[in-house]
Parts: sequence; structure tokens; C-alpha cells
Amino acid sequence: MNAEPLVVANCSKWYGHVLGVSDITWRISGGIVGVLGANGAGKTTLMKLMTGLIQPSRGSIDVFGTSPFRQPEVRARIGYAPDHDRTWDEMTVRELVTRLAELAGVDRRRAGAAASAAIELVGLADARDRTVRVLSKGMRQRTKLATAIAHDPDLIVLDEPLTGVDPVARIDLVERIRELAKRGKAICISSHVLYEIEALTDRVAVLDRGRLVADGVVSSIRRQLPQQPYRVRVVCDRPRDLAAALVASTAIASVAIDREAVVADTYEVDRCYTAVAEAVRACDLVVTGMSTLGSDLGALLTALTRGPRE
Amino acid sequence: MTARAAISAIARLTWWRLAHGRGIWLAVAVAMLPIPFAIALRGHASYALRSFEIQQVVLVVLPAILIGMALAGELDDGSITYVWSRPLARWTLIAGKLVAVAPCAIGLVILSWLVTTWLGASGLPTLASIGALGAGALAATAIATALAVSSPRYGTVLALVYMLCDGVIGQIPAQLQRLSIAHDVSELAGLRGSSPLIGALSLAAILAIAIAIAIRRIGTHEA
Repeated sequence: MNAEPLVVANCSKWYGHVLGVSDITWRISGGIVGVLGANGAGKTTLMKLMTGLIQPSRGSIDVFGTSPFRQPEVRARIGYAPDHDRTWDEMTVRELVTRLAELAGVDRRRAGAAASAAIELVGLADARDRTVRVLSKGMRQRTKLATAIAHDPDLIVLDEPLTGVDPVARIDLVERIRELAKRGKAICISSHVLYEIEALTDRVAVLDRGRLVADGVVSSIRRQLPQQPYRVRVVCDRPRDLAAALVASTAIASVAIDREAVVADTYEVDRCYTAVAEAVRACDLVVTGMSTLGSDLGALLTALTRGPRE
Repeated sequence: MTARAAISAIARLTWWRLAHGRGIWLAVAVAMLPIPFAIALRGHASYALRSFEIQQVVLVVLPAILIGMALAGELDDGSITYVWSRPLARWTLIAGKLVAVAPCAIGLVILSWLVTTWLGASGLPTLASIGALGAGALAATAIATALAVSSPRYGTVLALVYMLCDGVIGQIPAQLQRLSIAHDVSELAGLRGSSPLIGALSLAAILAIAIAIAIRRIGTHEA
């Protein structure tokens, strides 16, 4: 079947009176495509539609030429990692990935090997026999990625896979996702943070209050933003050491300490995160949180929607 | 993926989770509840009848607990998204869960009945009573499944309430009592004086209706 990985035509979804997505027309031909939007913009609803978890209230959504809700067979070609962490926590990583590979149609005798390969690919080989319950957030994200790819799907749908992941793991996870794209997979990845998507791809779709407000190359969309820095906040055990290390980086415009966190302004987010990761490694710091203060996406959405955010 | 392979994979997954969860011990504890009554009633003239009535409580409560663990929990907490995103027809989830849970429910109910009668020193139970309890456990599992799919969050509670009302419905002196699993099981076991065939047909009808509701509801369920 040579149909396009995804074709969305005038697709709307309501939950009772609540709007999920509204009249979206969109397509994915291949490669990595980012879905951007603030919380509640409709990213997860769109991804659930793409994976057949829910059906459109109006319009149509076809994956490889087939409705994923009505024709379950096509879901063998889809890999999905949901945004939530609720899974079968009592299983080990290997058991979970193996069971889900079996459910995806991988032959029972081959499922173990397929799971091991996927676990290896996401860099979890050392943790394969640990129960999911005890994994860190970053490891859980990798586990979800492994469950999404173990059955070798052609379209991989990842809902906020980088949320809550520390800088070192983030860089690694981004590389793993890029590696999958190099293998010819079509990848759709959502985030509410622009730099996360920029690190992966230059093709994005921007959602706002359920509507598709932009679809294209990041640089052209970014040009609609007023020139302002990104602001990155890193919470760690020794913020003064981290701040001292970051001051030396040319990627950082300014650095400030806010209680137990370091707040860095930058115009080059990729280089900033590389600098943070290097500083964390060099100083042997323990990072407990990291966030990007969302003015960039807010400004982008304001520019795109020509109105203040609610 | 064939329907048979899907049902088999879901059933194996469900067994694994039941075997590794704490809930299975709760189910075993419920199955063993009649034992104190068996000891207390030992040697009593109406021991066989009384112990069978107590056994019917296990019969209706145990499937609700097992289905609550195996299905309602997954539907409610969202972990079912991992199943729904796989190439499985919706009805195979119901079939797979029933294939996994029904034998557990039937086995525990019958085991409980064997232990109870043995402790009561009333000899081995009749084949009719064993068969009736097994059929009742199957019907109760199907009802618990239909309720779990219809209302995942409150499915277990609704199933328990339904099952507790079951005994009351069975006492209604009208055809309505045929909706009661406990009543039909008693009839099938030959304790009501009427034809066991009518009890069997009533249980079959309850089973068919419950499965039809579960399959219809799961077809429109959205994760």
C-alpha cells in the first residue's frame, strides 16, 4: 500500500460540547513533522484520531489510505506513544514491550527478539529487567518509545515524548528519534515547546484552540515572532556551579540564579541545551527539573491568531 | 492479526496481570469466605441447602472483582490506549478478557464449593450443583464485563450492587425472577423443583444479552 502516511480532511472532534479539534485539513508525506500547541490546543486529540483511539465527529482521517478507527488492521503500521505514563507498571521493560509487540501482531516466537531490538535502539538495554514502576521519567519515555517501535511501524506518533526529560537524556532521545527517521519512518511528534521540535525537524503544524493555524517550515513561522530570547530554567542541586559554567558559553545571552534554579536567556536554543548538558556532565550536577518559559510559543500563537491568548 | 491470535494474546496478557497482581489474592479470599460458615453449620440438617445459598454470594461477587481488575481498571486508568492503538478488533478485547477471567471465576467458585462441602462432611457435591455454579459464574462474569465497559469508573461497584440485588430479584414470585443468576443456578442445580432446563436457558439468555451489550459498548468506546 503506497498511500500517504496521513491525510486529514476537514476533521473535527467534539467531546460533548467541548471542542477537541476543528475542521483540520493536513497531511504527512514522510520524515519528521512536529505538532505544536499550548496545553489544550488539541494535539493529543489529533494524535488519538491518527491512531484510531477515537473517531472524528466530522470529516475523515486516513492512515495509509485507511481509517484507523474503522479498519484496525492498519494500526499494525502505526506506533503510538501516549502522553500519559499509565501502563502496566508491574511488568519489566522487556515484558511490557514484548507483550505490546505481540498485541501489534508480531509472531509470539519473534516478539522477544523484536522487543530486545527496540529496547536496544532506545538505549534501555541496561534497564530491560527493571519493573516499569521504578523507572525515572526519562526511562519511562524511552520505554514508551520502545513500545511504539517494536513492531516496526511505518508511522510513529509520539505525544510529548520529551516532556520531563533531563537535558542529557533529551539530547540522546532526540538522536534516537532522528535515527528512526533515517530508517524511513514517518514520525509525528507533539510538544508545547518550540525548541524541542526545532531540535528534531523544521516542519511543523501549529494548533491553537483546536484549529490548525500554521503548517510549514519552522524558520518561516518563526519570522513572524518578534525577536526575543528563549528563557530556559534548570533546577539542580548546585545552581551556582551551573551558572558559573554557563556564563562562559557563547550560546547564552544572560544567566541568573532564581533560588535553586538557573535561568538562562538564549537566542540559540540548540547550542544552549548542548551547553547545559555539557555543564551538567562537567560539574557532575543532579538536575531535578527543566522547563522553557513559554513566551516564545505564546508569542508565536498570538502572532498567528492575531489575538491575545485566553 | 487474526481474531484467534488477538484473543490469545489478550488472554495471556490478562492471565499474566491477574497472576502478578494483588487482586487475585482478594478473589481467593472471597472464594474462601464460605469456609467459616461451613465449619459453623457442620452437621446441621439443612447444611447442603444453606451452604449452597452462601456459595451463591461468592458466585456473584467474585466475577465482579476479577473483571474489575482485568478490564474496568484498564479502561478507567487509560492504560487501554496501549491495546486500542494495536491492530485488534474491539470485540476481541471482550473475548480475550472472558477467555482469561471466566475460567478463573468458574474454577475458584467450584473449588470453593468443593472445599465447603468437604468441610461440611456432607460428601462430594452433586455434578448438577457443580455445573450450575460454573454456569452461573460464567453468566456473572459476562454481566460484570458489560457493566465494566458501560461505566469503567464505576463498573466494579455497579457490578457488586447488581449482584447483591440479584438475590432479591430471585425472590420475586414472578417471571422476573428468571433475571436472577442465583435463582437460575438453584433451578439448574435442581433445588427449585422446576425443570433445570429452564434455569439453563435463562442463564444462556443472560449470558448472550450481557455479551451483546459489552461488544456493542466497546465498539464505540473512546480512549
